Amino acid sequence: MNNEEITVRLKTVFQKVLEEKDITITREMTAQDVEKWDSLRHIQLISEVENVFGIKFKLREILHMNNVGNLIDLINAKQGAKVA
Amino acid sequence: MGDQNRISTMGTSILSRFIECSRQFPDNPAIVVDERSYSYGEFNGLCLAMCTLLKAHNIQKGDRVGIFIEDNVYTYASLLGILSCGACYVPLNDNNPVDRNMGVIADAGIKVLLYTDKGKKARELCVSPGTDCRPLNNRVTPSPGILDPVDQMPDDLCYLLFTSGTTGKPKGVPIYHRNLSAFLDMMLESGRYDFNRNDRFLQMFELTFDLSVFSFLVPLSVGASFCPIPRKGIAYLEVADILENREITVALMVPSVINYLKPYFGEINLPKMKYSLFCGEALYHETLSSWSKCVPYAKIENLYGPTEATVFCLRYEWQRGEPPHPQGKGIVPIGRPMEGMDAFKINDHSVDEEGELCLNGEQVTLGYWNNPSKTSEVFGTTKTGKKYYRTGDLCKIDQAGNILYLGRIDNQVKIDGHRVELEEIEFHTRSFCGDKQVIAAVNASEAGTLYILLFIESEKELKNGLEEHLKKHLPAYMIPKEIITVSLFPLNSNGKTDRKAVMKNYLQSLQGAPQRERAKSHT
Repeated sequence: MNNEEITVRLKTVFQKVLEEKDITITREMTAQDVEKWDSLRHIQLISEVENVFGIKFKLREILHMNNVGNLIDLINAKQGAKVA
Repeated sequence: MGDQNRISTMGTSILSRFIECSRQFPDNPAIVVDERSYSYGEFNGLCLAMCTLLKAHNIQKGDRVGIFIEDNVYTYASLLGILSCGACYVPLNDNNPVDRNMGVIADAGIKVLLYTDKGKKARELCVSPGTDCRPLNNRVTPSPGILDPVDQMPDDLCYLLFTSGTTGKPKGVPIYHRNLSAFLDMMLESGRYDFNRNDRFLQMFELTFDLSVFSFLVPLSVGASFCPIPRKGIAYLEVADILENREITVALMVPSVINYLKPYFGEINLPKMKYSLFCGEALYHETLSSWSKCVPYAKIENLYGPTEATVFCLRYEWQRGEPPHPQGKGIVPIGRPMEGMDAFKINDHSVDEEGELCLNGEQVTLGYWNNPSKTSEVFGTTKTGKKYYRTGDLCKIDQAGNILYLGRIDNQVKIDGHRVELEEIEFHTRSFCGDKQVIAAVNASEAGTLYILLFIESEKELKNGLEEHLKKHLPAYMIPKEIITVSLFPLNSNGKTDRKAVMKNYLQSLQGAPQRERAKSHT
C-alpha cells in the first residue's frame, strides 16, 4: 500500500472518529489543528488505525509521532514489515 | 529522612519556604520548561522582577491579579511575584470562551491582567465593556537580589479559582494563606513524605485546577524542581514522555492518565518514582494494580479533596497486592483525613450507613467569593460549634475507618478531573433551545474515562448552531461529545423527567451499533 492509499483509508478513520465529514488530511496536520482531537479521540484514533491497518503501535512510536505525516510513514513501515 | 536536604519551616508561608530554598540552594534547578532548566537563583530573580513590575503598577495587598496561564517560566514567576506583593492570583485560560473569562474578571475585580506571548486576547479583554483592568506583559528579565515579600497574614487572599456553577455562572473559591499554610504543613511537616531538593515533580495540571498548587508549590517549598507538561500535544502522551525522560520522582496525576496509558503499561518502567499519587477522580483498583508494576518502588496513594478544602485532605495508602475493597465496587477508598483535618458524614440525603461527606479544619475556606446564598447552602456550623463544608459527595465509612466514595448527591461529575455541574451545560443549552427539556449526562468510554452527552426533547433536530453557542459559554472539557434528540422524555412515577430512563434508552439503542460505550452512566 502506498502513501496515497494509506491517506485515503486514514481519511475515513479520521472522518469517523473526529466526526468531521469534510476533513482534509495533510502530512503537516496535528491535534492542534482539529478542535475535537483531544486525548479521548486520540486514543480512539490510534485504536481505529490499528484495527483498520492490522498493525500495533508501541508507546515510544506514538510519543514520537509529531504529525499525520509521521503516522503515515509509520503505517507504511509497519505494513512493509508485515509483507516482508 | 534526608534531613540535610530538608528545611523545617513549620507554620511558615509558601514565600518564606521558597525564599529559604533560594538562599540555600541557588544553583539547584527550580523549574524545567521549554527544554531548559532555571535555577532557584535565576527563578527567584524573575519573581522579584515581576513583583517590582506589579508594585510599579500600584498592586497592593488584597488586590486580585489575573493571569493568562501559559506553560512558560514567566507564568510561574508571575504567580510568586503576585503573592510577594501581598496580592492574590486569579488564573485564566486563554482557550476558555471570552464571555466566561470576562465574567471571571468582573466577578473577581481584577485590577491588572498579566500575559506573555498571547497578549492580543488579554488586551482585547481589558478594553471590553464591563471590564476595568490593565493588561501587562510579564516577560521580564531576572533582577539581582532575593525576593522581599510583603508580610503575609493568615487571612490574606492567596488564590481565587473559579469552578463550574449550577446556575450557569462559575463560582469563585477563595483560598487564604491560612489554608495554604495548613496544606503545606500537612504535606511537609507531618513526616509522612520524604520530599527533598533532589526530587523532580511532574506538573501536569492547568493552573486553573488546584491540583497544580501541589505540583509546583510543594517542590518550591523543599528546593526540588518541577516539570510542567507542554500544552501543545495530547496531554497523557506528554505526561508519559516527561515521566520517563525527566526521571520524575513525585507524580500527582488524575486517574484518567493511567486509563489512557493502560494499553502500554508493559512498555513503561519508572524505577526512580518515589511517590505515585492520584487525585481528582475515582481511581479503579484494577487499573492501579496494573500501573503499580510500572512504578515498582513507589509509594502509591489515592488522595481526595475539593477545591474548597485546599488541594486535598484525605489520603489512602494503597498497598501492593491488596485485594479490591469488598464494599468499594472496584474503586480504591479515599481513606482518612490528613493531619489537621476532620471528616464526618451527615445522613439527611440517604439511608443506612451512607451519608454526605463533610470536612472541617484549617484547610477549609470560609465560603464562596461574592456568593452568600451558595455559601450558606454548603458551609455550616454543627451544634457543637464546629465549622464544616458539605462536599456533596456521598460516602460511607468501613470498619477500619476508611472512607469510601460512592457518588454524588447532586449532578456534579468529573471530566478528566475537572468539576462539571451538569446543570451549567443544561442552562446554556436551554438559553439556545428555548423552552425545550434538556438533560446533560455522562457516559464512560472504553478507556474508562467519562464524557458528556446532551439529550434534547424535540421532534426536530436542533443541533445547528448549538455547539457553537455552547463553545461561546463553556470551556472545552464541558462541551458534549454527542448531542442526541429524543422526541419524548420518559417520566417517572412522580411525573418528572426520568433522567435514568433517558440514559438507559440511549444505551439500549447503541446495542447492535459498534461497541464503543460501556453500560455505566451518571445522569
